[in-house]
Amino acid sequence: MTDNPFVDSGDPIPLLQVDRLGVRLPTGRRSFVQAVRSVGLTVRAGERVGIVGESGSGKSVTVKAISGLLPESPLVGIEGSIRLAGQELVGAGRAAWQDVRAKRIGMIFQDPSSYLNPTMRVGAQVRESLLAGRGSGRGADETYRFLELAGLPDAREVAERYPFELSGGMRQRILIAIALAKQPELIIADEPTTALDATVQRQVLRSLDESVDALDTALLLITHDLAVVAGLCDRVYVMYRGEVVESGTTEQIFLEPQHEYTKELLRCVRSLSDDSTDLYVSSYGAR
Amino acid sequence: MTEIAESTPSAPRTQSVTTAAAGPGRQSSARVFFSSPSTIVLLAVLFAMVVFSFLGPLVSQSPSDTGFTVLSPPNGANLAGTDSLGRDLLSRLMIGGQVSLFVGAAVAVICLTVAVTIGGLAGFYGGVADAVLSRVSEFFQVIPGIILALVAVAMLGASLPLIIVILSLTMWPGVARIVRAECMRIAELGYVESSRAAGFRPLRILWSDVLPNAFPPVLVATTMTIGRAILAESSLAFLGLGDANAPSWGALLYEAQAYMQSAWWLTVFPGVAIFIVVLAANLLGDRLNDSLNPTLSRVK
Amino acid sequence: MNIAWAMHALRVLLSSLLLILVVIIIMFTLLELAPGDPVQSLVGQVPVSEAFRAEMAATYGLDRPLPERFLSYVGNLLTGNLGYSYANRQPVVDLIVARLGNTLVLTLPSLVISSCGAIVLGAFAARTRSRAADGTVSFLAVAGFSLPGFWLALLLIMFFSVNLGWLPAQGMSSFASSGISPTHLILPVIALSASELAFKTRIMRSTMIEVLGQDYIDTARSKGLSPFQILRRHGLLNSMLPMVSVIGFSLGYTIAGAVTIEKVFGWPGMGSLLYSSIQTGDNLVVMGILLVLTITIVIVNILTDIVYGLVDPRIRARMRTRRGADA
Repeated sequence: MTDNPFVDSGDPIPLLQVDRLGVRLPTGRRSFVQAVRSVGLTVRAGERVGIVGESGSGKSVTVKAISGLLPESPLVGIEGSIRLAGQELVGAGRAAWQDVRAKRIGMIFQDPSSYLNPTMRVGAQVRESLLAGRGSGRGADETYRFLELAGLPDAREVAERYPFELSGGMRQRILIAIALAKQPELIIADEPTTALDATVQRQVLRSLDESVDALDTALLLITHDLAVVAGLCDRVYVMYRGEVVESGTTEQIFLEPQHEYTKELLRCVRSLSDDSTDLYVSSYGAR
Repeated sequence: MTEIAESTPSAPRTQSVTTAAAGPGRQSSARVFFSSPSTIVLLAVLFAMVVFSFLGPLVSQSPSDTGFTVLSPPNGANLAGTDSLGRDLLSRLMIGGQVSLFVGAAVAVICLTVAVTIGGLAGFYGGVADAVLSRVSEFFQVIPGIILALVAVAMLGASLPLIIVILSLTMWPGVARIVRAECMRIAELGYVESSRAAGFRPLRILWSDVLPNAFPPVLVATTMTIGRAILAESSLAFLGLGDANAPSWGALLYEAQAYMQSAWWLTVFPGVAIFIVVLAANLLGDRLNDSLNPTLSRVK
Repeated sequence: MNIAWAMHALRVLLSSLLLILVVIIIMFTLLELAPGDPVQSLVGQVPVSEAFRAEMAATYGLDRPLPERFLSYVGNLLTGNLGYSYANRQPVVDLIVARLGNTLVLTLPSLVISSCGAIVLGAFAARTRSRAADGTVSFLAVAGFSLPGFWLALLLIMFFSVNLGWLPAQGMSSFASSGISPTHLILPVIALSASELAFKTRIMRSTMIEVLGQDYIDTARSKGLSPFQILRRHGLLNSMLPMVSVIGFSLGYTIAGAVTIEKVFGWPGMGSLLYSSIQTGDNLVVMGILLVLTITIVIVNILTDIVYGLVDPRIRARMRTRRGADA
């Protein structure tokens, strides 16, 4: 890893290049809030990048803009540039966005209890993603493969279930499987374990880790938990109040934080354990 | 049956009023509500009807004076025409309005009182009040109240107090359900817990903290009740079950039936009066509901 | 069929029976409270012979204490004896049964029209981006249930029958024929459907708006599905489930509306029988109708429950397995 992660080390065009992104959201009939101010970030193919920040920092809105999941209202304003493998997405038409969502970017959402259709079998929900991403003709076996990849070994049985029959951890794995099934170039995970119990979080993150590895996809991970970042990400962006205040490799951020806010974040994490290096290495294994 | 109904977002028989944000948001909703032009128009319409009904008779003909030409269409002397006994329809509309509006208001007030009491106890305490409320409202959700009211008034005799009581009996559970839901929701919020911890007696918490915040959706439900009560009373009167000494707009329609072909004004005007009042009340309830729940969720 | 299903079925059955019992108690209470001579309050304002009076007293235990009166009342009902309508010279049961069909001919089409119409209009209003379109549908819906149904019926007759002469004003068929003629159905069904159509449209609209605002719709969007696919696969079923209950309940209200509509159109159904019996004070008939109505509503509710259980895939799944969530 070179010192400056922004110097290119192989591919000429990064997978995802975001520059000066700004997002304005309506908060009433006539009022707005600038949720994201001028954000720039880069993700290379196969890379794992984390975005950390507290609630309200704009990290969720940023990734929603990237994946095209902001509300489709004319009141929502997006400016700046979002380029996926060179293709400019801001201002692109509906068909272009639909294509991106179907095939190139997979999204893992935060709350497994509300992000799954309660009246549809989970297998069908995964298959839907599969078919949208790769076209028709795929059998049920493909679905089982992605369920297993996401960490659900009894895929055949689980696929027949409805969300209410599964535990929180299993449901989150379904969401992971949905993102994997389209075999995207980039997976965005928006706080994938926040809604889960602490003991389950680790297992689910491991499943995420392994499946992203297996598919060799790039990962953009949103979290407020620095310990998660430590275990999973190569590079980190720190966001605060709609802007990126610091960025660097995971090592740099943890050992040489520059910005006050980053330092504050680290202080909170450190206070949970005596030795900060311990936490950095963490039980996910050194990367 | 209710078991299934509870596990889905099912809509109650009364309007599906969604809950409001408690606390500071409420003040601005009130301002939004009152400043909207449509609200002002609606309130003005209702006010006009009240003035028409209660103050109108001071300046119009006597409603029981049968001196005019029988069944004459609207003209200079009788702006709404006359009926089969030669009475001026306009003044009869005013008297009718007094009855209809009074019934609507009375039923709404009684429903509100009973609903707040029982619904508040049910939502806050649970227990007996809750069990009773659930059974009763389930009953009235299934069996249309109007049929029961019809039968009851028919058998017990049609007098205004009875009609008001019976209509209130059939309509309070709907409002009470909303009160209960709101109280339950608010009881979960933080500041009730802190009041409890501070040692305030539960009944006092209910009165001073919970109920005032439950007020907005309950107000919406009450507004809707006014409309329903007026319609119900009109139906009863139309079927000949109105109080003979207090002819409402519905009663005027009852008399008008025989003259459908020959005297259109007898049918049109009373119906228009009912329609205007009920429509205004319902639209007001809707506006109120909308201002409490900014429909930003529609931005998708 | 497992234990859970059996328990649920039992619960439904019991609450249905309880409902019928409550209605019977209400009817009995009204009878007791009704002013005047008990026999007259049963048969209406017709003079009765002494013999008949004695017979009534025996059948209904009119000179016995309250509990016995109640028991004989209920006993009569259970044996299908709804009484004898002195004014009509027929057993009440026969009277009602003859009319029931006619009312159903009116109410069932109204139910279908108001339900289907509501689903279509409500879904449209929920999804349209045009605020004007949504506003119009919403406004018309409010207007629809602010309108007295019988007044709409009167206006329809005045306009389409009297003025334009297009459609008949009264009755089920013209004098020459018997049975039910389609042209005679049109105006009554329109008048009867209007209010329920308006009410259900509002519910469908708000249900669908709520469903389309759910998080799992975002998941569907993230799969790159088209808006139509999202609606069809994720929006429709979840919106329709509450509507099943609503439609089931609406039968009762439709029948309630039929009372005034039948009167206006002179339609010989249960509703107009109820009206004429009220006029003559023939309370045996009135209560008989109420009972039949209650039973009909209860049956419909049980059917609705069954339909719901078939339509909601989760219920079928819940009944298949006995386990809940796995670890």
